[in-house]
Amino acid sequence: MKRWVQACLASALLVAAVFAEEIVPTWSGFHDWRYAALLVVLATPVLGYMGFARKGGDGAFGGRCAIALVGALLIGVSGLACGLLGPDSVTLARVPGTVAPLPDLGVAAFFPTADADNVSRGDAGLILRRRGAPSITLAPGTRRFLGSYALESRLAHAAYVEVRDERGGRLTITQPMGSTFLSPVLLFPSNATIGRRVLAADSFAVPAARRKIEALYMSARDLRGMRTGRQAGDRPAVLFVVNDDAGHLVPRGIAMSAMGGEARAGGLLIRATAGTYPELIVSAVPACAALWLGGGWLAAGSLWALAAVRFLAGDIDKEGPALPQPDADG
Amino acid sequence: MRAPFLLGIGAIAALIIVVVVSGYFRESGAVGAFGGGSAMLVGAPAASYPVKRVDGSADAVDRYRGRIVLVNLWATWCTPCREEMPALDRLYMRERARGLVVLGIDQGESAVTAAAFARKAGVHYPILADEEQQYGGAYAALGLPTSLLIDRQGRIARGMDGQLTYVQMRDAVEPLLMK
Repeated sequence: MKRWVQACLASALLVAAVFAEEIVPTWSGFHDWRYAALLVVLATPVLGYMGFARKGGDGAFGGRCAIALVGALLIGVSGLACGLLGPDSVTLARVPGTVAPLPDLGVAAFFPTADADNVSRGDAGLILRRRGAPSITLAPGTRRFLGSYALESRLAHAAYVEVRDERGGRLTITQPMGSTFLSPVLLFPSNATIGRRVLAADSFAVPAARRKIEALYMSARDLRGMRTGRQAGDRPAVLFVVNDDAGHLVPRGIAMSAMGGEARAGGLLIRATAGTYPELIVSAVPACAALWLGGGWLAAGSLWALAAVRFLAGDIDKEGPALPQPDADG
Repeated sequence: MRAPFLLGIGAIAALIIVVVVSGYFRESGAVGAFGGGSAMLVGAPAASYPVKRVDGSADAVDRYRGRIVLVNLWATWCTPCREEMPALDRLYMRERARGLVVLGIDQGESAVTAAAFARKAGVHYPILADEEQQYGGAYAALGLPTSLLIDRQGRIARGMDGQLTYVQMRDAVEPLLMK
């Protein structure tokens, strides 16, 4: 294969490898040494060809091609910098009504207030407020690029919980182990295994009743796969396990709340509305400016190099000899 | 001609590379710099949600814009909250003429429960029942009681976790009342 073809192929793969960081920024492999090594390996033939062209290889075409390939190297360096220096992806799960500041990005992420209906519908959008710029609403499943970061909203399991005593009086819910102490919205940050199924799990307390309650999120699929004695619908449910202060299961302390229905467990009436709530994933990506600049440079340089070929071909056609051989050493 | 041109191209490329790399050094600490608790909200606009007073009328924190508001998140089952109430009431009675409002916002309990307790405790400041615990979530309470001081512009001036003494409350409120 001709040397300039090798260099162009390597540069195309280099650009593709870096753009993959933009497409799946959450993949942890981009921050691994093997990815950095791959970029260096792909850049090597490009650098080699630039050295070759600098010595006059492939003539005018070679010089222009080498300049075009600087754009690919810029993209490669931005990808390498992102992989080596950018932090790993962070998932920010916050309860409704709270703010996650990202000071160096100049952004504050507002997690909108949500009641049982919002959680059930799962349509809450995150609001990104920026210094000196209009706010951005990040709908579930969408992504925005800000500088060297990608901010993505993804729906995760959530449940809005209400607890009442036997007389119907509402009781305070606290989450001593959660990110927000006083929130009735459970975000299920951990897992528990029942049988061979792994279920999303969370816990909360009802201090007035001296109860600690474990909650397991059961999707419609989980419900269909278990003999719950309940007709499985297409809505998720929450299984509650009620313990006393010492962590012992209380009599009749297990119950399931489905479709916003009330369940009686351990002397409490518990209602859970299971659904989804957005979480924010912050990932480092190659700087947008570097990609635009590198891409533009590469495109303009490639056209310039092609023009050289056409120009030379035209000259040669007039003079009559064989077509030019831009690759002197093949 | 060729060497200076290539040198220029190389210099521009090197400059861009330096800018890209230095951008990561600047931003690498951007993620994960999150604190916790109500103190981290200082300077932010105070969130406000319509809830009911224990007498049944509607109320919200933003109704008191232009005054100094001491929001106290509490619940009837919380012993330190109950112990703190006489000091809050004393502060309210002494400073309300200077523009101080104390709002006791019960978290997660029925208005009936909160009303019965407030009557028994004999407090004079307004008691609100936030059954859905919206204020507790938005004000990032780490526990109960939690108190927040809101200035006349509606911004959070201080966030304080745990039980406060009368002297601590007065020292927190005084600078804002002087303004």
